[in-house]
Amino acid sequence: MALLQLHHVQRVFNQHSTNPVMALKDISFTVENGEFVAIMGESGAGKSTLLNIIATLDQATGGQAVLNGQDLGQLSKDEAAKYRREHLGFVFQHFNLLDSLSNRDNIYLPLVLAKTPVKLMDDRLTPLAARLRIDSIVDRFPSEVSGGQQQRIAIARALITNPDLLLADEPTGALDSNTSNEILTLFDDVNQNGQTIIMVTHSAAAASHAKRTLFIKDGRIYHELYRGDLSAKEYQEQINQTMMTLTNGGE
Amino acid sequence: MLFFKLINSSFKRNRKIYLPYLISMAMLVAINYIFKAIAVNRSIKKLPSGSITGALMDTGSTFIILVTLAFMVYINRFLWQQRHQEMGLYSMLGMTSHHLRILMVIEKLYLLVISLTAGFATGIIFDRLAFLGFARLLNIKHLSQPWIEWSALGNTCLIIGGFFLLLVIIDLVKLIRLNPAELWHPRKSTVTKHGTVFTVAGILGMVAVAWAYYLTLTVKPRMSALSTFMLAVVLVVVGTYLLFIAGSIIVLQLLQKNKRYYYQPRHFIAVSGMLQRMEQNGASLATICLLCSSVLVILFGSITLYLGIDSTVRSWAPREVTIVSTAPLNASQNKTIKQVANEHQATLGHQVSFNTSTPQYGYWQKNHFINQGGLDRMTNNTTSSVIFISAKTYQQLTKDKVQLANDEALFYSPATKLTGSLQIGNRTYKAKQLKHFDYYLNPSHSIYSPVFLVVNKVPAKMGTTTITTFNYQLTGSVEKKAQFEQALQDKLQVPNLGFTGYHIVHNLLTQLYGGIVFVGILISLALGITTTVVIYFKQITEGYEDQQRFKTMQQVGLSERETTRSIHSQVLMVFLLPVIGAVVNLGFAIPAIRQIMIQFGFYNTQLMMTVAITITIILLLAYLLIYGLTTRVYRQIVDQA
Repeated sequence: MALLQLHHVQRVFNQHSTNPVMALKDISFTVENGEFVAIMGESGAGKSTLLNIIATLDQATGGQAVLNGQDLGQLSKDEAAKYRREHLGFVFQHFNLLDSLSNRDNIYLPLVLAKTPVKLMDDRLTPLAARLRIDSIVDRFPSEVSGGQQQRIAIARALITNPDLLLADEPTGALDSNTSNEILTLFDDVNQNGQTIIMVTHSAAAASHAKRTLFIKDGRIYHELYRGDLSAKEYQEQINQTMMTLTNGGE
Repeated sequence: MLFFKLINSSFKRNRKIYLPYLISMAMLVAINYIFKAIAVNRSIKKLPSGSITGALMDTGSTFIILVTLAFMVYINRFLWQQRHQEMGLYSMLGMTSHHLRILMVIEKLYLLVISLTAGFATGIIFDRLAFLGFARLLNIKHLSQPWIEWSALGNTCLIIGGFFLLLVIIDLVKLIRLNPAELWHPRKSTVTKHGTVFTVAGILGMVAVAWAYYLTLTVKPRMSALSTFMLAVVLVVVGTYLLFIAGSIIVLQLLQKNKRYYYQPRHFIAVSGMLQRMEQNGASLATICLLCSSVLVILFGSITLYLGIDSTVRSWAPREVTIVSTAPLNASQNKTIKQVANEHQATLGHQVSFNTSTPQYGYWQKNHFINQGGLDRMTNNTTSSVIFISAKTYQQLTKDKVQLANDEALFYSPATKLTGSLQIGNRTYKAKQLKHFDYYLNPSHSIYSPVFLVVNKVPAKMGTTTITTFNYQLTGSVEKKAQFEQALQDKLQVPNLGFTGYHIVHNLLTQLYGGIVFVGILISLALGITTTVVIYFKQITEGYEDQQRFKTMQQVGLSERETTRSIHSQVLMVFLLPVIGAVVNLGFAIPAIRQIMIQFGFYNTQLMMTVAITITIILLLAYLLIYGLTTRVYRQIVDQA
C-alpha cells in the first residue's frame, strides 16, 4: 500500500510579488510502506522545500500531498504539530538536540508531549537503546557526547514514537566518513525492521544505502534510480554518474 | 571613510541593543550631573544644613558613580559578546589588528560623545526640575541656581570619559586575545556537574539569609542597631547570590528526580529550561533581586523618615518651645522670655512647668528594666529610658484624678511593648497602660525612647529635671518663628539639649531628611534604570538562545501556541523570582527599619505599612511593565526562527 503520495506538488514563494520564486514546479511520486528512499539534488534544487512539505512544516501551493490517507494540505498549524508528533520522526543534519535536556529526556521529548506514562517510555527506550547502542550514554547530556552519538540519540528520539515515516535531512552532513557509515548502517538496519525512511542528501555514499534514489533539479523530478540487485559500490557509481549529468545540465 | 561606514551600519543593525544602552547611559550621566550640580550649588551651601546636604550629595554621587561603572562594565561585556563575531569576520576579511583597534576606539568615542551630549541635555533640563523638587522637599523658597553648573559638567565629563577609557583598555586586551578561527564555531554550552561544594553553597546561602532575617527580626533600638542592620544587608547580599546560583538549582534537581511530576509536558519544558537558565543566569537574577531590594529599602527608609519628621519633632518638643533644666526657670529668665517675645511680636501661650525624675537609662528584659543610671553610664545594651512622674504632678498636668498605692503605677510607652507588672531596678509596680500622655517627650533627644511612669512617690536619689514648655502665636513665616526661637535660646543661654524650638528642629530635620529622600529617589531611579537594562539585555540574550529551541520543539511536534505559552510562562517565572525575593527582603527589613525609626521617635506602624505597600505595588507595576515591553522584543527575536 502506498504510504505517501505526491500529486503535482507545487511550491511558490512570494506568490503575489513581482517575481515569484518557484521552488517546486511539479513533483509526483509515491513511497510504499517499508521503503528507503533517498532524494538527491544540488543546493537550491528544492530538496528541503520538498522535505518540509512532507514534514508538515510547510504547505504546498498547488497539488496534493497525502500521507497515510491524510491530506497534509488540510491540516491547520496546530493539527500539523500534533500530526508530526504522532506520525513522523525527524533526523537533522545538526542533530537539533536540546542542550538543556539529558539524552534520555531528549529521546522522551515527543512522548512527554503526548503525555505518555513514564513506565511506557522506559519500556520503549530499553530495546531501542540496545539496538542503537546508546545504553551507556542515555544519562549524559548532548554536549558531553560525540557528534555520532548525538545523531544516534536524535535517531532514537525519532523512532521512539514508532512513526509511520522517518524523515532525515542530511543526517550525515556534520559527521566524518567513519561515523557517517555507522549511522547509515543503522538506517539500513532500521529499514530492515520495516521502518519507512525518506532521506535528503548531497552525498552519493549516503544515497547508496537507499533502495531508491530520486534526483531533483529545478523543482522537478529529473531521474529515478533503483538499487535492485546492484552491489553498494556499483549503485554508488550509478548515482555519481547521474549526479554528474545532472550538474552538467545534460538532458 | 570605511570605518565610519562600518560603525554606522553596525549601529543600525544593532539598534535594539545600542538604543536602550544610549538612553540609559544618557540618564545615568544626567543623574551624575544633577548630583554634582546640587553639591556645588552656592545657595544651598549657605543654608544652616548646607554642609550636611553637601555631604549627602557627595555620598549619593559616589554611589551613583559606582553604579554607573558597574553598569558600563556589564553592558560592555554584553556588547562584546554580541560584537566579537563581527570583529572576527573583519579580521578574517583582512583587517589588521591595528585597524580593529582603531575601529574599536572610534566606536567607543562615538558612544562617549552621544552619551555625554544626550546626558547633559537631559541633565540640564531635569536639573531644573530636580532642583525645584529638592527645594520643595527641603521646604526652602529662596534657592537659586544657574542654568549650567560648569564645574559639575566638567567633573561628570572627566568621570564618564575615564570610565570609557577603562572600557577601551579592557576591549583592547580582549582584542589581543581574539582568535578569529574560533569564531567560526558556535560556542557549545557545557553541562556543569555539581558536587558537594554546590550543595554546601546552597545551604550556606539559606543559612546566611535566615541569619539575616533573624537579625532584622530581633534587632533592638540601641546604638548597634544600624551596624546590625548593615551586617544583615551583607548577609542578604551573600545569601541571595548563593541561593539564586545554587539553591534554586538544588530545588529544580529535586523536582527533576520526581519522575511523575517531571514528565508532564508543562513541567518537563519548564523545569529543564529553568534549570539551564538558572545555571547561566543565577548571578544576574540575584543582581536584579538585590537591585530591586535596595530600591525598595532605600525608598521605604527615606520616605518614612521624611514622613516621620512631625512625630520626631513632637517627641522632642511637645509644645513649640520646650526648656529642660535642673531647676525651675527663675524670674530673670522669665523676664527675658517676655522681652524677646515682645521684640518679635509674639504672644506667649500658657506656660506649663513640671518636675520629673532625671531620665534613667537602661534596657528591658521582658518587664524588668535594668537601670544603668545617667546617660553617661549607657552601654551597647542600652535601649530605653524611664522617667518618673509623681501622681500629684500628673494630676496637675492632666486634671485627671489618680489614686495610686505605693506599688501601683501608670505608664505610657509608645516605643516598647510592656504589659502587666513592671520591675524597675528592685521595685515592682502593678502597672496600667495609659492611652495617651500629652507631655510625652524625649528630653535628651537620644535614640533611647523613654517610658513615662506615674508613681505615687518618685524614688529618691534620682535627681530632678524640670520641663518648661509653652506655645506662642506669631504671625509670619516659619523662618520668623525659627528666628524667634533662636533668639530665645541665645538670650536664655541654655545649651542645645536644654532648649528645643519646634520650628528650628522642624526646619533642620526637613532639610536633612528632605536631602535624604532626594538622594534616595535619585539613587532608586539610577538603580531602576540599571535594572531595566539588565532585564532587557537578558531578554535579548535569551531570545537568541531560545530561537533554536523553539524551532526544534516545533519540529518534534509542539504546536506554536504550546511553545509560546510554555516558554512564556517559564520566562515569567524566572523574572518574577527576583522581584518576589525583593519583596520578601523588604518584608524582613521592615521590622529592623521600624526599630531604627523608633529611635527617631517615629511610632506610626500603620503609616509605615502604607508606604511599604505603596512602593511595593509601584515597583511591581513598573517591573511588569518593563517585562511586558521587553518580552515584545524577545518575541520578535524568537519569531525570526
